[in-house]
Amino acid sequence: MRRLIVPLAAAVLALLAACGGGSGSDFGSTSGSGGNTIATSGSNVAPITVNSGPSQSSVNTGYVSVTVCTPGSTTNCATIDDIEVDTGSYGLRILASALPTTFALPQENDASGNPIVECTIFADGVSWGPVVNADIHIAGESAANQSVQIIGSSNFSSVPAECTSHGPTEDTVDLFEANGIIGVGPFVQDDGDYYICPQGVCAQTTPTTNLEVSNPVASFAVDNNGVIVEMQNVGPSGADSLSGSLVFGIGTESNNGLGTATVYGVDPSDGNLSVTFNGTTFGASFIDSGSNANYFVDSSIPTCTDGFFCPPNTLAEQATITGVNSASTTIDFSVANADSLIQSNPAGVAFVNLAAPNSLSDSFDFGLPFFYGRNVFTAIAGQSTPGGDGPYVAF
Amino acid sequence: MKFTRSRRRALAALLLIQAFSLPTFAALGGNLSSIEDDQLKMKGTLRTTAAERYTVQEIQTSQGTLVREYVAPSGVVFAVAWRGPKMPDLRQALGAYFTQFTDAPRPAHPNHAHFAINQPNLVLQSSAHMRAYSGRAYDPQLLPVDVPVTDIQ
Repeated sequence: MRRLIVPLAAAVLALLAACGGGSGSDFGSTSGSGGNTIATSGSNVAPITVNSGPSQSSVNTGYVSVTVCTPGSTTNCATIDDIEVDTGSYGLRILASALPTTFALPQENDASGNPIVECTIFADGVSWGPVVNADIHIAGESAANQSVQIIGSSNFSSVPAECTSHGPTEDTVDLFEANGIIGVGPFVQDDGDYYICPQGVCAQTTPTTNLEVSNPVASFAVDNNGVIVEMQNVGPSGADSLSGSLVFGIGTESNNGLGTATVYGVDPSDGNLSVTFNGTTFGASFIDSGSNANYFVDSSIPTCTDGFFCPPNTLAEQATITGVNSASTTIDFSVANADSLIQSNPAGVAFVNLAAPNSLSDSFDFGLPFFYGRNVFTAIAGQSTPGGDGPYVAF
Repeated sequence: MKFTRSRRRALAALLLIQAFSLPTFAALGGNLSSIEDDQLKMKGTLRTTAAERYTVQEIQTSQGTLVREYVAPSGVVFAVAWRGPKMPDLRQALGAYFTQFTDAPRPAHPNHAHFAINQPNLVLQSSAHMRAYSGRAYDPQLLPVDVPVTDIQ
C-alpha cells in the first residue's frame, strides 16, 4: 500500500507546472446516479475510492491518494494511497509505517528548537506522533511547507499519560484503518493537543497557529476556499466498491460551481448545524464524510452485535437539516438491518442505509452514506465563495 | 432508593460545602467520601444541582468542556457525561472503569467519530469530530432504578 515514486513525482509535478495548476480548460464529468454530476478530470479533482481500506475491514470510508515531499523538493517525495477523506477534521496525518522506510520529512520545532508532537483525539482512540514539514500535492493542487502529523513514529514512541488519558493508542495502519487521514472540514486549524518533547520529555504546549496541523486546502495557491465531495449513489443492497471525487475550490473553476446547491451555515466555533428527527431537534448535528454510518438517537430501533441499528425491516426515515442561516431541507434516508445487510454482501464496502445509535441526544451525524448520490460542498471559515463566506455546507 | 427530605438536605449541604472548597472530581464508581481524595486533575469550576433522584456535579474545565457527574442518593457516582471542544481526562472521569474502556474489543467496522461499549457494568458512548467531543459512561448496576438513562447527558 505504499510506494516510493521519486521519478514519477518529478514527472507529475513537471506536468502540473505545464498545466498551470488550475487552468480549467479540460473538465470531464460523469453521472452520480443520484441526480448529481461528478467531476472526473481537472487539476482540482482527486479520485475518491470507497474500499475496505488497508486493514480490509472498513465500510463507508472514502480514500484518496496524497503526495508529500520534503519542503522545496520535487524529487524527494512519496505518494501514499488509502488516505481517508474526512470533513470532520483538519489537516493531513500519515501513519509512519505507510511511508517508505528510506523517506523522512524534517521535524517541526518551536522557536526554542523544541520538537512539536501532537496527540490527536478520536472517539475510539488517540494517535500520537511528531509534526513534520512537507509540501503536499493532491490532484494538481499544492500546499507548500505544511505541518503534517506522522502517527506512530519511532522518533517519539513513548506516548504521554496525558495523551492516553483519552483512549487507547491507534498508531498502526491496522488500528487506524487507513494509511492516513486528510481533514478538509470547514476550518483551518485543528485546535489539537500539542506537546514539546525536548530530550524525549514531553509537556503540553500551545503552539503558534502557523505550527499547527491545518487544513491544507486553505494553503493551496488556487481553489482554496473549500471542497466538494461528489459521490456515486449505491443501491439498497450495497456495493463492493464506489467511486467519487474530491473537488477543490467552490466557484473557482468551471467544474466546482454551487449550481442549484443550497447553502446551510454551520456554527463558526464547531461546525455544527441543526437536524430535526422524530419531532426532536438535535442542535449539535453535523455532516461528516469521516463517519461510516448515519448516527442518531432512536431508542425504538434495536442495536445489533456490531453496534449498528438492526430493525426487523428496513425503515424509511426523514430528517430536516437546518443551517445557522435558517436554510432548511428535508432528507429521506433509510435504515436497514446492518447484520443482514453485511452478511448478505460480505464483500460490500458501501452501504447507503447503514445507521447506528449516537452517544448523546443532542447530535445527529450524517456520515458518508449521506454523500452517496450527492455533491456536498464544505466551505472553509473566513474564505469567500459565490455562496457567501464560510463556514458552511451546501448541497 | 427512597430518601428522606432531611437526608437530602444534608447531602445538599455537603455538596454546597464542596462547591465552596477547591473543585473536586470523583470518578465513575467513586463516592462522596472519596471526593476529597480525588484531587482535581481538571482545572475548572464546579457547580452542583440537586435533581429529584440524584445530584449532578458540573465541572467546566479550563478548556471549555462541561463534565457532568451523576451522584446517587447513596453517594456513589453512577454516571459521567461530557460535552465540549476537548475530550476530558477519561482516566480521571472513568476511574477504575478506564481500563475497561481502553481494553474493550474493537468493533468489526471501527470508526474514528464514534465508539460504544456495552458491557454488564459499563455502557460507554463517545462521539467526536474535531472541536466537538461528547460522550457518556454509566454502570448499569449502579444506576438507580428510577433514573432513565436518557437523563445522562
